[in-house]
Amino acid sequence: MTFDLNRIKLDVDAAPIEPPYALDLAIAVLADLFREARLAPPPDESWAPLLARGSQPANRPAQLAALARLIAISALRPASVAALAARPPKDPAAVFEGFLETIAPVTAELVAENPFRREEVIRRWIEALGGTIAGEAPEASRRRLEQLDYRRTLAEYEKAERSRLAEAQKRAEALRKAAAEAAEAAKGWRE
Amino acid sequence: MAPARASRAPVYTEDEIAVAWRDALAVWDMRVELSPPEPYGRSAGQTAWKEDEPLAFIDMKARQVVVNFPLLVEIGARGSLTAVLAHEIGHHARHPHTLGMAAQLELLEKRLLPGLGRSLTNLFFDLLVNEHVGRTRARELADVYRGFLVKDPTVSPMYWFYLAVYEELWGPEAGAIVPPESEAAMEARFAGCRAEARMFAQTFYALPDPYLQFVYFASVFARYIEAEADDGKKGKKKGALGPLSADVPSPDLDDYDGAIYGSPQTERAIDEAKARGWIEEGREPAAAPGPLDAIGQLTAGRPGHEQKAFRQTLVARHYKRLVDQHLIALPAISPPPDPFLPTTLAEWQPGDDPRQIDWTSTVLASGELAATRPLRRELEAEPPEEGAGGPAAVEIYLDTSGSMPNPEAALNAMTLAAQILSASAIRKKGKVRGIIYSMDAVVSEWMYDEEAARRFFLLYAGGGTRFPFPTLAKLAAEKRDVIRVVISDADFLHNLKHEKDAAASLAAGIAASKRFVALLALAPSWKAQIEAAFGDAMRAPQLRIVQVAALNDFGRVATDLAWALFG
Repeated sequence: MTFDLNRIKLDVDAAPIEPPYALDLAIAVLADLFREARLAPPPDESWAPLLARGSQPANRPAQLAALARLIAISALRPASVAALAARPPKDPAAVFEGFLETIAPVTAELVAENPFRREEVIRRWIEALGGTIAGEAPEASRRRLEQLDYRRTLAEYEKAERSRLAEAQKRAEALRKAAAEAAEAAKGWRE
Repeated sequence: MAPARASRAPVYTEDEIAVAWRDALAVWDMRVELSPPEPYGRSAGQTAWKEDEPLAFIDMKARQVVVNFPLLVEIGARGSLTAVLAHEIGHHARHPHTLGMAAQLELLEKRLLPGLGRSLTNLFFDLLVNEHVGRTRARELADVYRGFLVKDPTVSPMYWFYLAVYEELWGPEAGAIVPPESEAAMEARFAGCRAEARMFAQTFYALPDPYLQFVYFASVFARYIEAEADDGKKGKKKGALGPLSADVPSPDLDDYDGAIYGSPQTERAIDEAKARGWIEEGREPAAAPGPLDAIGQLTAGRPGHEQKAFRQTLVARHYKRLVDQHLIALPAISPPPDPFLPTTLAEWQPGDDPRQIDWTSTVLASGELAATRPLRRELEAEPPEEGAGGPAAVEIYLDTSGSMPNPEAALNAMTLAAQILSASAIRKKGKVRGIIYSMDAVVSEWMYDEEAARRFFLLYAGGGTRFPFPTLAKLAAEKRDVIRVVISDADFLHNLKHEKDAAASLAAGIAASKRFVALLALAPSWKAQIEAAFGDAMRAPQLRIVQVAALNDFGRVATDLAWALFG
């Protein structure tokens, strides 16, 4: 099943600003996708454990709410229904499990304010449903996802942060040394 | 050998240029007041492309995009004409939003990256423009940057990072831009630089306003700029800033004039950057500069021959603003004076203004029949006093010795007082002569123009103080009935005591003046010393001595004096 990413982006950009969805509403929106595809949604009791595990469980409820909103306001909804119908997942809850883990550090705030993170979430959802992007070769999609991978970027960025921190400490030390030398020089002059 | 170049066949046909121009306009989907592109040299009469000039730019005088077509072909980016044109249109239409904003960012840059050799605001605007153009023409833009690297492979750390941002923004479809062999060396020197470029690209473009974007840009780029400066100290070649890096029109004086007073957006952006943890220890921005400091910062980076005129104009405008804060704006046409003098009585007729009826006189004249025969009395304005009015002639003696700051560097309260007095006199159709003195005096001609007077009173000498008593005596002998104002401090009393023939010159000066006012920065406790120094001159009816206890009061006192002297 192909997803028209440009259309989805346009729909999302054109949607009015609104408060984040409540968790119950988000679960209802996501469960409806399965029902519309004539599939059984994840059982009610599976949501709570799903939202409590993973590498960053604190982010999960808001991530789910953000996904539900993206689906509700854009062409992502009919395409997701079609994708589910075309390739019914063996374990519906596992779809969400895999998806949430790939976007673990992407907070709902980032999704709301950063178009790159929004695109990452949308692409990850499409990937979770086994879909493809219209007009894009699978290899190009893979490279784009690699480029947008916030988890990986954060991990690699840590090196830069450590390096910057070391440089800042070195700079602060040099400034302290220069200030001490200046104070010492001024003292000598007064004497 | 320019003619040989000119004689070559055109590298683009007229049709190709027209199509590229149309497509470039479509990138921004807006109407612009620009003429279609011309080859460099055809419109402005140039025949050669200078090394440090950009590949393309907007000639604001002709309102035309100018492109070095042969160079575009030479670097192997013949197919990038539309992207280059769209880039230039982007600068004209969108980034910078206004040149006033560009001027504000230039000042902000000096706070965030002090000591920067060359401004990076153009690169910043390029980042914004290229994001938009790159949505549809990333490959074309990448070809231009790649082509220039072939031409000049020197890449500074900062420029490497800048190009890496584009690679991360445009993705693999646009192709690699930085030389592949440089990747490992950069990673070894700046651990995590590639991830930082990716993080930058995916954060910078998501920020909501250009001021915040600029603070983020400066905070991330600072690391690489610093390294570039270190390389420069070690004698390494600095490297170019790319083919499109000097194509934003410069802000003009009006833009800078607005920028020197700061902007709330700038301060908000700095506060937010601090809250987001972008400002590293040791890189905290300096406090917002005052207007004169800001002028100093902006002047410092300009070519030597431009500096003086640029600085003087901005300083003069700043003082004009201060003067205008003290002086109420004069109406263009003076209203007629209010009539209040009663004239003779006459009989009131139906149709006359009932407010003209003088009931007291009517009752006294007609008694009970007053209501039937009312009398009217008109009021008229007082005729101008014989010999009064007419344009005032004012001589202002301004002490510019080292006890007061240079008015271009810091607010000089005495200079401001002179500016207020001269502006008031000239606005009342008067004329002003300035005498600036420290150890020597500079005497102006009679000035009738406020701007000329403003610039004259911005002159500054510094050094010791010697009041020009011989000049006073000479000018007094030349012209009587002049209002003379001395603006000084305790040094004036010292000069009066010790300079040769000072008392006689002062007496002559006072005698030949309509008014002689000494505005002296002295506390009230100096009264006895003032009387002793002035001696017999204290009895002259023309003399007024005004003690200004605090420097901050000079503006107010000068305003009051201006109202008293010139109305």
